Amino acid sequence: MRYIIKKIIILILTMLLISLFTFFAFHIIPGDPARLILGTEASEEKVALLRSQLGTDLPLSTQYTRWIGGFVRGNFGNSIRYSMPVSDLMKGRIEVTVLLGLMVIVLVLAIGIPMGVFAAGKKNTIIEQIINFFTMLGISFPGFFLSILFIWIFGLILHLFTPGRYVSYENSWPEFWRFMFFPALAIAVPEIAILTKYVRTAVLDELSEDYVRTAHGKGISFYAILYGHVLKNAIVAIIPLIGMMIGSIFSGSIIVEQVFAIPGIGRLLISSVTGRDFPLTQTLVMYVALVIVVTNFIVDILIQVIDPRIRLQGK
Amino acid sequence: MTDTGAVRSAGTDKTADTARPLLEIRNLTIGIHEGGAVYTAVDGIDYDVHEGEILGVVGESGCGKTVTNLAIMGLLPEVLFIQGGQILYNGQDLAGADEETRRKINGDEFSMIYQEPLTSLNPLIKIGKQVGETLSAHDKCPASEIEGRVIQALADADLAEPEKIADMYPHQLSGGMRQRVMIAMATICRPKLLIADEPTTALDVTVQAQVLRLLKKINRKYGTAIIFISHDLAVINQICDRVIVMYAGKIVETAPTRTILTNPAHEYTKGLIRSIPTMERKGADLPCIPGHVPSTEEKREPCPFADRCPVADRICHEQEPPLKDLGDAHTAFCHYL
Repeated sequence: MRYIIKKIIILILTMLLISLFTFFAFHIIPGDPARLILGTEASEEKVALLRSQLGTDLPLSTQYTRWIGGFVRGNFGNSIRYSMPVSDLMKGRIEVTVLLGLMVIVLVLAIGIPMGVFAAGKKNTIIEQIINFFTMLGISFPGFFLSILFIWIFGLILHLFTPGRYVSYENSWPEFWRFMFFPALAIAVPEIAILTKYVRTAVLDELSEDYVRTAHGKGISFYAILYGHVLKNAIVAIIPLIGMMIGSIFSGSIIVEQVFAIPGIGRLLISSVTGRDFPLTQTLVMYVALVIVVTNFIVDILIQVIDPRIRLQGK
Repeated sequence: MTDTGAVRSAGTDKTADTARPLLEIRNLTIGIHEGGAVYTAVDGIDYDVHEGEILGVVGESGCGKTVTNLAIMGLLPEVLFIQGGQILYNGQDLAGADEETRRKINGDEFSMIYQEPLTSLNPLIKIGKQVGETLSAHDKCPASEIEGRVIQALADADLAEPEKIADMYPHQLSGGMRQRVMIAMATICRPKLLIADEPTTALDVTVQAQVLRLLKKINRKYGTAIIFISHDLAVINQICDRVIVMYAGKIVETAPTRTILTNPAHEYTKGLIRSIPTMERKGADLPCIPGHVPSTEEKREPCPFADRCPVADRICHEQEPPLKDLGDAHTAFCHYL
């Protein structure tokens, strides 16, 4: 329990630090939102007026405390560009991105782990070489390139989905999943390749452990050892990696949402950065950071559940 | 193996040649891959293991004791391989046996315990499950009976509160308890042969004696033959009926334990015995054998001990030493006997 409380405190401190970085980073980069809204032809008075309306003329520290104060109370402020509350803008989009992210995670785990174990079991065979080749290929392909490839192959040639025609889950869940499967796969492929490689290495490391020799000495079959003894130990070794992957899955989805024309927060984020829509950008970044920090928190708890040795240390 | 008929008292005709031995090692040669080349780790050794005996294998580190016995279990690491010879068990040669044949024997008829009980147990699996696996791997009893038999096996290994221990993880136990768990796991199917590879080396002296007593009890009660590997002649003396002395991948001397200790023939064995600390020599410098065991890459002399032997002569560097029978099951390889 003390361990969990300690972790929660770290979580809060991390979020606070991230909020500081995001806030100041966006205020250091050049570009004045008032100028961007009014255009270069606008008079200085008008720009000054808009600045005071937006609150961007206040000292940075005041701006920060105002923003973070509202943030913890659930008031994310108004979007400069869209002139509406940030929370209204995000509604309906967050769900789409989260569902996409979840689908990616399921795909990565469901394919990456068994494939890694399988590759380890086939050490020194031609099958291992083939898997190695494809993981190398998978790691090398960026998500946006795969997106374009998938639209062409699965959309235009095989007609498995209609490119550009996003179906909201509010209208039809099956159609929604059908459309989302391919962007999810495009984000997942590089992650699957990385996970496969790590799982394979982790499993091979575990296979050389003494307890594996003991298991052989007991007369347990190789596959029973692989899945019954080794996999659990290997997963403990790769769980931190899975935590880190969540971050790259989210950043991957930003571009892929663009390519597939999915109305998630990815597109919103890109347009808010180019439009210097600080309240919106900050909220989105904080949101993504929160997802990553919380999943890593869950991962820490998960390791505890699986590994009794860490449980003991926490007591 | 059933308990009836297998129970034998220690010391009765165990070395008799009339009965067929439980296990016959014939000209066993084990190679090692090192940097693209192949060297010899174990060089054509012969020995028998008789039913119900405790056979000691002694020698310095790196002389092939462990490797030989891993080969019996079919557990050689990837770099090691059987180059030649036979491991005969029940008329079957295990040296070339396939994985499934070995799997059926391992845990059921042959078992092994190791020097490091902590790393030899899976850290993430409860003791009870790990011990029970030996039973389930060989379909020894219905699943519903496994738990009861595991508790019984843990109790038989002199573990107090076996129910509690079955529900614990390896890191929660002491070194001695872990080794008892290993013993329970290795003997739950009542194997005919238990290979104990330095099982007490990592333990405290007091715990060491308890584990030795437990092994002896298992040997007496179930007639389990034990190959006891150790570099420590003092420990060998406490438990073994017969001893094989190995040096640089070869057997140099074989004899009943008492004979080895009181009347060693080979110069290497003499050196080992001289280097046992005793009360009489307390305070004096402990004698040691000068030099070191040749590594696998070094060129071997016809007699592997020739370089360190005080009585070695030209012939020792030119010709393989003959096997000399010194009577009373005492044999040694040496030109000067």
